[in-house]
Amino acid sequence: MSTLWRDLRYGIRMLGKSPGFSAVVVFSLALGIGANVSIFTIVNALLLRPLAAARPQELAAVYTSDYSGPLYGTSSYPDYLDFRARAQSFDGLVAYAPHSVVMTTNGAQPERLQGEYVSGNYFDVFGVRAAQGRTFNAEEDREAGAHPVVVLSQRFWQKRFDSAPDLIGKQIVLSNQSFTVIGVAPPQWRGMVRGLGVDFWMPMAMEPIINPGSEMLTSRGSRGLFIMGRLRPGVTLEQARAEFNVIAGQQREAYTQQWSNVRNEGRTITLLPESETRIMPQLRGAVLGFMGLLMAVVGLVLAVACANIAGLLLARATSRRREIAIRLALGASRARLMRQLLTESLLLSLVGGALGILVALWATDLLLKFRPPFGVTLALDLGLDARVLGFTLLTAIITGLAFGLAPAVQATKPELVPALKDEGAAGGYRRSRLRSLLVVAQVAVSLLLLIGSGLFLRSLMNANAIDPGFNPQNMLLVDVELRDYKEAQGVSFYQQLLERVRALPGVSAASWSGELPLQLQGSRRGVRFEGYQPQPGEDMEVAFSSAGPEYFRTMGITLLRGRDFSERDTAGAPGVVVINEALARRYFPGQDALGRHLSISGPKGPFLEIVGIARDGKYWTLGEEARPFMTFPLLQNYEGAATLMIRTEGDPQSLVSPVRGEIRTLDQNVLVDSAKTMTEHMGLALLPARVAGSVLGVFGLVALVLASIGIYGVVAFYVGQRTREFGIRVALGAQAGDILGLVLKEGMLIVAVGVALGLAGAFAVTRLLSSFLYGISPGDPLTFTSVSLLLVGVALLACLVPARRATKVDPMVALRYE
Amino acid sequence: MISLRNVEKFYEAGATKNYVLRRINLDVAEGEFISVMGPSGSGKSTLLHVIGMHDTAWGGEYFLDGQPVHKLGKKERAELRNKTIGFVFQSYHLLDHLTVYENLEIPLSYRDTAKRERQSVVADALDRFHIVGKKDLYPTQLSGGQQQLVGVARALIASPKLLLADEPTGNLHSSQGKEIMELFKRLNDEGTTIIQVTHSEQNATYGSRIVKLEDGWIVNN
Ligand SMILES: Nc1ncnc2c1ncn2[C@@H]1O[C@H](COP(=O)(O)OP(=O)(O)OP(=O)(O)O)[C@@H](O)[C@H]1O
Ligand SMILES: [Mg+2]
Repeated sequence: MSTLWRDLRYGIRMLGKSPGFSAVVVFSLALGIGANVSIFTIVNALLLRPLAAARPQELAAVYTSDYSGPLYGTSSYPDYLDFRARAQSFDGLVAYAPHSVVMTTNGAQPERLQGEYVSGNYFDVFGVRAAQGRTFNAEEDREAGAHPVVVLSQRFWQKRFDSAPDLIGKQIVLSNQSFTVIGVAPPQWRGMVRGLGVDFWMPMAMEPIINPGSEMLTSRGSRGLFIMGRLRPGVTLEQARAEFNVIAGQQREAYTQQWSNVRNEGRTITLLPESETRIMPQLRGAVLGFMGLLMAVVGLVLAVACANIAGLLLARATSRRREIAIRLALGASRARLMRQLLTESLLLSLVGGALGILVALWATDLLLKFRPPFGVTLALDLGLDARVLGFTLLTAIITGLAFGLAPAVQATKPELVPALKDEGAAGGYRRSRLRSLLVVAQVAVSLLLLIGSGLFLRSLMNANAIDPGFNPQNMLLVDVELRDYKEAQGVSFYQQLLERVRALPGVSAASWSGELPLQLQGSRRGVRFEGYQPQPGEDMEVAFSSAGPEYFRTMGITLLRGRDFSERDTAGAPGVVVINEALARRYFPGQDALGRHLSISGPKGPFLEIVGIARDGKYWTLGEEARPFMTFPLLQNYEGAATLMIRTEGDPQSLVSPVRGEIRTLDQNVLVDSAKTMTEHMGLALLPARVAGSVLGVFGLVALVLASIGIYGVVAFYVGQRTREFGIRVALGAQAGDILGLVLKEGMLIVAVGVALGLAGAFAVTRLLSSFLYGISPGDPLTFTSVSLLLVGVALLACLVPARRATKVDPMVALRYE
Repeated sequence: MISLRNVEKFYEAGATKNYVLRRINLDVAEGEFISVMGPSGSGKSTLLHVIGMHDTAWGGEYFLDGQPVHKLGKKERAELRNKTIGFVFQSYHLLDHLTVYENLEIPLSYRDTAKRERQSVVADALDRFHIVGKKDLYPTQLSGGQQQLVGVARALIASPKLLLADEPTGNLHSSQGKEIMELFKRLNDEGTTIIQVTHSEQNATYGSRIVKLEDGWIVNN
């Protein structure tokens, strides 16, 4: 113990003596370990952390196989009731189904909430007690619609109700139905779907009230429930499986039709322990694979960091050769010395690990801040726990041994005499080829990543210059969802709202769109064109959208021929469609498409008349080639949700609340999901480029930092080995500049090879990116040169530090040992 | 040619100063061949490195060829040194990864000599020291005497007026040592001023004068 303490104290002193070296090592370790801890934190939250239920190891999930065969399907409510009544191996069986509702509050905007329908025993079986109020009792899920009660999640209670202490017993309105809040769940209970935030739980018996006409609780064929239960004490999963095999047989006997699959065999029931259900079994393989890949990548980053640090330590070992040789000469055992050196390494890696945790906290916090543009909230519990801390400690120790062992072995090799005479330093000019190659690879990879990032960032700048085919300026988009409307009601709502909005001051035009352009994807449907004979196997699906009256005028899309949609293009009127140039070129080559017909309902029609031909635009992505496109009148092809498109004279934002006001006047309870400007919306189209640009950029910078440390290590090692040579050269008349040149040449040779390889790789690889790049060629010379220059500049700095040290070599000291 | 006035040098060990050279006054005329002698640790090497301008941290006055070295800046010193001085080391200090030819070329490359001229100068030196046959060998492939021959050739390659040698024969057999001493004698006869450090009375006899150092003091002037 006392020698350990001495080793530690001595280690701290040694590291304190070279603060620059220690800082570089600790920094790169913080980066490398931090990356690993970040990914592990996610793996932990997704896969390793058990459900926050009591005694999670007793829980098992029950799946009914799907009609088409896959094993892990959901179950029906009548089957659930049968299972519950018959299964002896379970103490309790719970059913739940995720769903969303709209909450309306007087005077506030409607909000969309995520929740779960649950069986009445849900909280009891999982052993979860309410943090406020109470949870459900068995009575509350017996009679359909009899008990409109709801339990809120801690997060939702805090966020939406400011943790109001008197909320229990109050009413909230979900899907136009009043519910009494009876409790708030404890903070660690976040529902059953990992990664998604849950706002509330309601009894399964309320489902028919929320979805009138739904058969979820009555039909054996309506399979939408997840089932999980707690095994009776002493019952193994195998015994439970055997019992459910029997039950599956009985169900097949009793309900042959519902319990048969596509091959007319019986459906099966599969049980999985809780530990294998944290991610949906169907997705589990993919998630495991993806996480494994991520772990491998960050593991590689750490391995490279280790190799670099080992290089630095080797460089330092040459300058400590005499200290070590003397210690050996004085009788220190080799093991003793190695322990001393390893203590120093471990000290470094533990400090690096501690900082790595900070890096991980920061990185995962950043991840949680990311709002995916699909309206779900990410709610992963990415906190530190014993598992994460243990992983960090283990990683740090392995890391310390990995980068410390080789230099320690090397440094304590007992070649006493040459080291004492300092001949070794001049004798073998061993360049470690492997290490040079490693650094070359780091330079090449970092260049490749940075060029990729540069291309994306430049194309983001270019994207503003792309003509989407419509005018994106001064345009407000308001998503409207008509939940319980019949078609006639909905059409009249669309028409009335349009009238009112057009009358608002500052509005120059307005229309509806069934599907916004530039959402990265869209819908296609099979079409038949009058007079066009498809080739066998020809792709006859065409992208489409629906739009309201005066859509093309509102959007600023040029109509080359024909007319815009009008108020008269309704269900009763003749069916019409507007196509674009690309469609006309492809399916009516050399003909006038105007007045011709197409059918989207098979060869018998009805056929729709082409009443307009619009100029080509961008429909799904900004980078796409001109694609055939058709637009139908929304009022002829009713959809319950659409986007109000408003062309404004001034700032579109100023119209948000007047428009919301008009919507509320028409109907209080219409859900306005979001209001945004067209320019904001187009940000979505640029999301892939933005994400790719930043991810590549971050990884590129990490690689650059690592490469710089690698270059520094190799050059410092070189300088350390050649101290005597530089002394001789200075004694023979070399000036500082000559020595500087010599060292820089050594370092920059590695950089040059790395840059050459990186450029070659980039030329080959960036071609694959061309469909994501806007207005820029994948071999863009400006990006290639500026990134290369940046990298060479940074590499030069990394060389300069040890090179300057070489110029300070005192010939007196270097020549002293004669 | 050389004039040292009250040259002093010390190393600091904590608060105390350990003097290595004390009030050195020494004049060396052009064409002299001086042997510096004295017990180990008396400051011989230190003195040589001061004269050779490898060492810059000392006090006093030093005139070389009429130039006040103590007043010169780093650049000017280097220029003066490169123009005037050649240095021979006890352990040769050849660069192991360069051939004999390349070792000889180093000093010229730091003196902005054109490539053409370098080639002819090196060729002359190889010829003069009878090592033409060795020009493509590496130092480790030579005997000690041959290595020191290269060391001397390298010191003389830029035609210095002053040759400094710190125990040039210290690592050699006596017969090899004799050869080097005869060479020095010849050079001296041709006009090169020489200062050598030696432990050997025998070697000292080749010189014209002996300077004795003890504890940093010159004791025989
Ligand atoms: N870097 C240093 N720090 C402290 N003292 C030093 C240093 N270098 C040399 N000395 C001291 O200077 C004194 C003179 O050293 P120098 O090498 O000049 O002696 P020397 O006469 O050449 O001896 P030798 O015959 O053994 O080569 C010695 O006492 C030595 O301890
Ligand atoms: Mg000496």
